[in-house]
Parts: sequence; structure tokens; C-alpha cells
Amino acid sequence: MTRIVPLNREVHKSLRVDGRASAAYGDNQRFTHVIVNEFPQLVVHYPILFSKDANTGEFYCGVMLGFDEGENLFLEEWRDLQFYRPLGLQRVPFYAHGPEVAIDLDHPRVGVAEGTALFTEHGQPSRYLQRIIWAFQDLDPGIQVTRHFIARLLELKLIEPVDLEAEFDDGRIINCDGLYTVNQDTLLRLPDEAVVELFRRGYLRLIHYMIASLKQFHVLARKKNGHMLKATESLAGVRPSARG
Amino acid sequence: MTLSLKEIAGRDLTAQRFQREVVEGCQPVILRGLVADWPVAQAALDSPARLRDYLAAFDVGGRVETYLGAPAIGGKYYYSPDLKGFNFERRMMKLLEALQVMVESLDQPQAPSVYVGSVPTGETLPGFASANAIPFLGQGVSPRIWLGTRSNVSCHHDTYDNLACVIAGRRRFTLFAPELISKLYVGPIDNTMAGAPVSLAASADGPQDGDFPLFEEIRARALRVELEGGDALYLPKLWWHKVESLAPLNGLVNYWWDAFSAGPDAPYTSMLLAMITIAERPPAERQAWRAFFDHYVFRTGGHPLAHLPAEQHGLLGPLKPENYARIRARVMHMLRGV
Repeated sequence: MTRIVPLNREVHKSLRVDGRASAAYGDNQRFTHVIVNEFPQLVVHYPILFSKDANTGEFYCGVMLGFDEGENLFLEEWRDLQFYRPLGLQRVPFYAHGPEVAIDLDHPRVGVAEGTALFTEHGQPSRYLQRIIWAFQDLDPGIQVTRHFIARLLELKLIEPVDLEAEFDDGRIINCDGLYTVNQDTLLRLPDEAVVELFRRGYLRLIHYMIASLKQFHVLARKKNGHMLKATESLAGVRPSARG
Repeated sequence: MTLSLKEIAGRDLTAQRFQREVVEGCQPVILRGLVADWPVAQAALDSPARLRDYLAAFDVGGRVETYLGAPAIGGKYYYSPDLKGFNFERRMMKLLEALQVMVESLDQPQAPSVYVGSVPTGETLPGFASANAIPFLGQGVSPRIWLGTRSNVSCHHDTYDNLACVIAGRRRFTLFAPELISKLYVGPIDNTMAGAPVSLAASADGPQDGDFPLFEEIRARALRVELEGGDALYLPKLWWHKVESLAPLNGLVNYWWDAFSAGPDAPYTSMLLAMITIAERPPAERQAWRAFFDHYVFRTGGHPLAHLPAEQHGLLGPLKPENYARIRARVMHMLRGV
């Protein structure tokens, strides 16, 4: 259930929210929505791809975080604040409410004792809440820009399905279907005026981030192989050390 | 002691009985008349030309590797006397062309030997497999076809379980159990005729081919069986077999699969890895590893943790659903070194 109410410094002055990355709180996603503003931070860690919304059939941008249902291979890095965590997950359990921020009081992150206070003793937004407010300043317009970006790429027939398959150390072969990327052949054959237009609108840069991010697929697969070793640490054996 | 092969009637064999009475025994079993009703076996019974025409209806014109031997080799495809080359020629031919050469050679007194082996029917003869099917084998196992004039294929082994069905002519299998390997004078594992190493002793025709004293100890332990069109032989993996095709024109369809696979890795992979890590160590260390292999791998004394309750078996518990994958991931990591 959700109970979304506008955030109020009086009513919620002592409310604490656990904003840390956690599988139990919903970060257990293998693919999550992102917006184009985030691409520069995302490209260094995650494959940025298109997928289709299961209900509307519309394209959206997302990053791959794992291979199996509910598998997010970055939870440790997110908990240690080492890697960038997409805004769509950072903002939970908050919502935009016009220029204000709303909160889902029924979300399990809310009212957790070890959570972070939303307001200082003087009633000012805490650093945590300030980050959330900034996130929404990026998110709201970013969602619009992302929508326009996708619409223009569709018009130019630049979106194509991508065949991503990985063979893992445990013997499994996983084929990730339902994912799309930029068709590089079509991109190379675009007329000059379209290229200039994409460049002026900042889309060309985004396209190149997406293409470059495909290299992260194999990094992600290697990461999954690493996670598989946890069950057999006792078999790693002792390596002979240099004689001293 | 007379060694004999188990024999059961092939007709009315169910998947359950095949598994229980044939596969799980891990012994060769003759299945008389298993495929006698197959259209291809009926066609071959009629005449070689009918067999050719029956196969032509499925043929899509693909090329297959064909062995061609001079009349002098008498169908014995083998090494040249210095073991460096072979006594036959390999040529890529259309399956129907090769079959036509076979049919035409039937009337010639000094005909060449022609042999086409291990051709996947799915690619070359689409539709053949479902027209000539073994109901109790899953669709996952795709058959191969073997056609040839009189031939003598040297004693070798395969690393898959094999159901070999004679569709034309007559075939004589001479079998040696896997554990006789050390007395068979097995040749190189590279420079082979068709992938598998051969027993030089079991393939020898006489003293001119070499001197094999250890083989004399086991020569009498050979198992022999002759199959007519429609008969089949189940041959477990690693059983050595020499195969003589005795009629002017012979055909076989076989199925290869691993009946006891626990995952994507073949035992042969483990053996090669074990070979490079252990084979040249001092004899005493090899003995030490042998004890460990017996304990953990061959389980000659039963389960290595039989003295503990099952819930404490951990990674030594059943391979499925997780332990196979976990250990494999660790092995791959160890092999890569990172």
C-alpha cells in the first residue's frame, strides 16, 4: 500500500528514513529506469540500454545491474557510496509534488530507527533531504528530455534490438532479451543535417555514451562470475608465498 | 569362461525399460529388431538402389567427408605403414554422389572402398530422423548416418553413449571393455583417423603389424556380435569397438548422447586437465593423488562424508541444484588465474 503525503517540516520533523541501498528495500533490480542527465555518471559502470515498458509498450532508458530476476550486482558499491546510484532508486520513498517533495509513509524505508533524519533541529532540510530535493530538480526535466530523445531516435530509426549473451563460469549461458541500443550503421548513414541537429540538441553525445556503455556488459558478466565465488571461498586454497 | 552380451528384443521397448534395463547397466546390450520397421531399413532390404532413392528424397545436396580407398586395402581404413599418414584419401563429396559410387561398385570385382561416416542427418537429410525415429529417445538426440562398402574400422572408443542401428547390410562389432585399455596398445591421441585413438593391437591383422604381447592376455575377452539390418547395439561410452561392415553395401544410423550428464562438462575434460597436472610427477606423489582421486572422485570407499549427517555435507552434497555450478565457477576462476 502507499500513503503519499506532502512533506511538512512540522509534521515530519522527527521522521527518519533509511535511504541506503538495500535489496530488502527494493534495490534488488536487474534493470532500472534512468534519465539522460545521468548518462555521464552511468557510462563508467553500467550498460545503458533501451527497454520497453511492459504495460505501455513504450521505450525507456535503463541500466543493467544484473542478469537474473532481482539480481543487483552493485549493492556493495552502493552501500559504500563508491558507485553512482541512479536517481530513480536514490529518490525512493520520495515523490515530486509540484515544486514540493512528497513521501510515501507506508514505504518500509520510512520510520526506521537507524534511518537518517529529514530535518535538522532547526527545521532545515538535512543533507540527505537536500540531496533528494536536488535529485528532483534533475529528475523532472530530465524525464521530459529523455522522452524527447527517445522519440527523435525512433523517428530516425536509430533504435534496434541488441543480442546480449553471456556464458558464465557456473556453466550457464544467459541471453538477455528485450533490450535495445543505437543502430550504429544507421547512425553512420544519417544525412548531415540530421547529424548536426542531433549534435546541437546534445543527443549525439548521449548516443555515444550508450554505445560506449555496451562495453560494460562484459564487465558486468565478470562481476557476476566474481559473486559466484562466494560459496566456495574455502576451496581457494593456500598459494605458496615467496620464500623469505 | 565364455563372455557373452546381453540381448533383449527391441520391439515394444519403452523409455522406462530402456533406461532401466539397458542404459543404467553401463554394459553393451543387443537390441534385436529394434528398427526393423523403419522405412529406411525396409528400403535397404529391397535393394541398394532403393536405399539410394529413399535417401535421395531427403537429401539437400550437402557435401560430406568421404573416405576413398584403393581395392588393395580391402576396406580397412588405417594408418600408412610408418603411422605418419593414412592408406586412404579424404574427399568432400555430395552424399548422393558418394552413395552412387558405392552402388556402382557393387558389380565390380576390383571396386574401391568408399565410406561416409558420422553425417548429421539434421543438416544433410532433413526429415529423415522423424521418418525413422526411436520413440523412446528424446527429440534432443539427433542421429548420424554411416554408409559404405565393405569396411573394417579400427578398434576405437567414443566418449558418448551410443545407440547404433543397422539399416542396411551386416555389421560385426568386436568389443573390449574400457578397463582393458592398458593392454590394447592404444595409438596417439592426436594424428587419428576420425578423432578417437585406436587400439593398434586389436586392429592388427597379423604379425606383420607388430608385436603385442600384453594384448594376447586379453584377446579372448573380446565380445563379438553380428547385426543384421534392423538390429541395434547399445554401446556405453569408452567401450572399445572394431566395426566390420560385411555386406557389399552397409548402412547405420546412430545416436550419441551422455546418459549421465550432470552439467556442461565432459569427464574427458577433467582427464586432460588431470593429465597435465599430475602425469609427470614422481610416482610416490602420483600415488598420493590417486588416493585422493579415489576418495573424492571415484568414491571407491563410498561417499567421502558418509560419517557425517547429510546437512553437513556442504559442497560435497548432491551436485544439483547448486554445488555443480558453485564448484565449476571456482574451477574456471582457478584456471584463469584471476
